[in-house]
Amino acid sequence: MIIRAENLSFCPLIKEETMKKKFVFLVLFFLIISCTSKSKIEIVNSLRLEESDSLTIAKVSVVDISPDGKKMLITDGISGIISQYDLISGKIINFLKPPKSLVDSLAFSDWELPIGFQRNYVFVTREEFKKYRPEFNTDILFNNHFVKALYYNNSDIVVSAYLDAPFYCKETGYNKLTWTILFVYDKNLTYKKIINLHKIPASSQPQPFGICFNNNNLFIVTSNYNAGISNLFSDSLGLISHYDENFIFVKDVANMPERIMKYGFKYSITDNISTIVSDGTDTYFALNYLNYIGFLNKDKKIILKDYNYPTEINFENYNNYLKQNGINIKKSNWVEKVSNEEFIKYFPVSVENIFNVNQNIGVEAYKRNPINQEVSEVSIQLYNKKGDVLKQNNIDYINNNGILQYLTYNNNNNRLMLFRKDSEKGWTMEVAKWE
Amino acid sequence: MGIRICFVLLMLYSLNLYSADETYYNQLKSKVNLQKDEQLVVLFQNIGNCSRCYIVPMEQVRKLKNEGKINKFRLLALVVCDRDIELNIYKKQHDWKYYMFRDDGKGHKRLDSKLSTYLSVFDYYGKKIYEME
Repeated sequence: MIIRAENLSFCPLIKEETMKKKFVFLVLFFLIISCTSKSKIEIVNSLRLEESDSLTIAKVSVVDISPDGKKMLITDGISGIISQYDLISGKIINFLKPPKSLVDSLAFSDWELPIGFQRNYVFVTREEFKKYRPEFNTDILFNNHFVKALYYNNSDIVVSAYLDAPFYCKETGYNKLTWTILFVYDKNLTYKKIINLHKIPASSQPQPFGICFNNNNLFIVTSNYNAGISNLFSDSLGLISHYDENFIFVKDVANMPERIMKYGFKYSITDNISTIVSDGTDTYFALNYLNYIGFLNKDKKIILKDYNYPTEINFENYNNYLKQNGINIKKSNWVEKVSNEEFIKYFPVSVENIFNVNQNIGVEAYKRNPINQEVSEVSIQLYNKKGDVLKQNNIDYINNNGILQYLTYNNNNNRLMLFRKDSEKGWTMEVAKWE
Repeated sequence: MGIRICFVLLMLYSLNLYSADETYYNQLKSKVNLQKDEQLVVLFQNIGNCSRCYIVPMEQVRKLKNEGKINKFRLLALVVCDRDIELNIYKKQHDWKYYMFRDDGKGHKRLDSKLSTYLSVFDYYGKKIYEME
């Protein structure tokens, strides 16, 4: 067999070129696949949260991760207790129940009454109250409630709370007053001070569920149940107020969205604020049934998309339903006339939570079934601040660890944190990659 | 013929509804050991309720008793919560000395009450006497 010399040198060249083409093709193929393939969520760890006889969590309402990423603060919106957990072991570090003794001390303090309340109110002790209203159990009636606990200033913890206090009024007698205050604790949950926020020149009151800090400046939702319903028809209604680092009121930074003002709503606005978030650069908020995220101090909105978020059409259809059924939203009891089934028919999707994901914005939304009002789908999306959807996935509402109750993101280790509750197992924290 | 079928279907439907309610009511009745001359006062509670949502129904019970509208009765709270441990905490928090059972959120429907109802009073046979919302 004769093999020519030129063939000897030429054949490998052809093979090499073919290999290069194949390689380039493969690289392109994988690039295309990786660009078009969907993001995915992979659970990498499941951790049972410790509970004890003295600390049982009924609801994980808020979770905040410590600046060093080693601990988390859980606020139980039902019991009003805050607890600090080790993020690695899931063990309790410490916890705190709202102090009751504070209620009595107000009677001897020079605290100013919240704006909007009559000037002739006088704080009294629980003992005095009981003397004149013996039918009430004062331990139940005056039940202070922690609502949202956040790490603050790298060393402290700020907790917003509802404070119940007994008062006397010459015209109306003995009664109860509830308003919002902030407690400041150190990282060991040792008491430092109380802050009374009610010195604002607005008709609405600060609400403890809607607080966040941006460089030690406080932003707080200021509408309340009364203002939310009765003032819906005023020209403007404060929604979020800004307080400086000394907790002095600066100004209102957001008003009630026009769409809510125009149509009224089934629920009070306090039930409709999803979250207010600061990422160190921006502060932004979302309401349950609006399809955008609003930025404070900037005339900027991110429109939520690629999911069935409520739009103007949902609001118009809902408004037509109210009209057809003779439901007058200017009457005080109109809210009760709209059943949950009907409401969910018009608003099946709600924004449940928003969270900072390395200066991008995570959005968690629920889709509900109008027949049984149960959650049928949970969607999470990641937006950049230009409003582009970077990732989108669905999450199981129910799995072996129970029903999804809360979801947030840990920016220290870039993991999603899902909190699930099972009637037998208790609480499980799932840690997941979102890639 | 058509009317007969409709009638039979309607009977079956109402029978089915009645038996579902009756079963649940009988369970409650047996748990609280309700006697024939007694009424069952049911408070609908949720562990997430504020103190007012507990105080107002208790005030109403007191009022009904003072007005003589309820005399011999058993007081029962149906509390919406997920775990028995949560129910026990709620019981302790409210210093509750009467009957208290966990409700899976369907208590209102099973007792044929609106979701906004916070207090219902039934006679021994399950007939609703009062309802407050």
